[in-house]
Amino acid sequence: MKSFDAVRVLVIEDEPFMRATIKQMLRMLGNPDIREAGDGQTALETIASFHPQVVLCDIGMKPMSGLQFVEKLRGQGDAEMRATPVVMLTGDGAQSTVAEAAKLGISGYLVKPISPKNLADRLRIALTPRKSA
Amino acid sequence: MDHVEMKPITLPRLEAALQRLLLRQSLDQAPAMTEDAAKPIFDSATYEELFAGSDVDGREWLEGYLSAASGLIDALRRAVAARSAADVAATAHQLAGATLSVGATRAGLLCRALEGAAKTPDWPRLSALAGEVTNALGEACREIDRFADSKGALVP
Repeated sequence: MKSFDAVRVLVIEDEPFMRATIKQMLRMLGNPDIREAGDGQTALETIASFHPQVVLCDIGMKPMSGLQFVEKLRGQGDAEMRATPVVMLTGDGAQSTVAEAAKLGISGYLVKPISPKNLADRLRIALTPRKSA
Repeated sequence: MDHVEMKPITLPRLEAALQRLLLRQSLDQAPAMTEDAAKPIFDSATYEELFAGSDVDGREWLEGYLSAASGLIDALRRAVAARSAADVAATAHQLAGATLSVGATRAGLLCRALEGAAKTPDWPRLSALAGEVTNALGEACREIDRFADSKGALVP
């Protein structure tokens, strides 16, 4: 399963224990280059300098929710930044939330508790280049 | 008839009987929760999956959960005391995510039930559920603490 060596991953999660859990899960999947952010604003600044290949983002954060963060990301002037793949990690499996996230062009939606296998599957999909329409 | 209370009735006994009745009503309204009692207090499978062969000390991760849970339990108590349904829901949401992730399924599912219940500010029901959540989390934390101890002492 160690297929994510050197992949740049940004983890956005406001709860330190959950950040530690996701980071350890990523380490078990290889040796990715992991950065972390505890809120949406810090995440936007980190993306501009770190250029992650994929972002793992919690939804239930304050003051900016995960969905608001993705909305802001998709509205950025820089095309590369705008197109950054995002996988949502959340405890909220409500259909309305999933539908709202889908409209924002996310690459995956995982409901906690997540497993390393589910995370690996979603990461592979998110890292596969999309065919342009 | 739901309950018999023998005389002389004291205020604490009456209060305890009412709490039990309210809790049972809550459980009746959330039938999935009765099934949750069969879930493990703490299953170390997640720990093993995350730290088997890892050079990272998994006990720090467990300590991280205990610390997070302690702070969130205090926040939950404050939210209930302040009668803030939004804060109860937000705290229960955070507790559910962390608790299910550490492998404490029974307490985690109770947290999720509390998060759902907090959409309706029925305070007798919410208070009883929050008490049940706090007890289940306490039980889970003790079990996790014992498990962490069995893995040896953390080097400061």
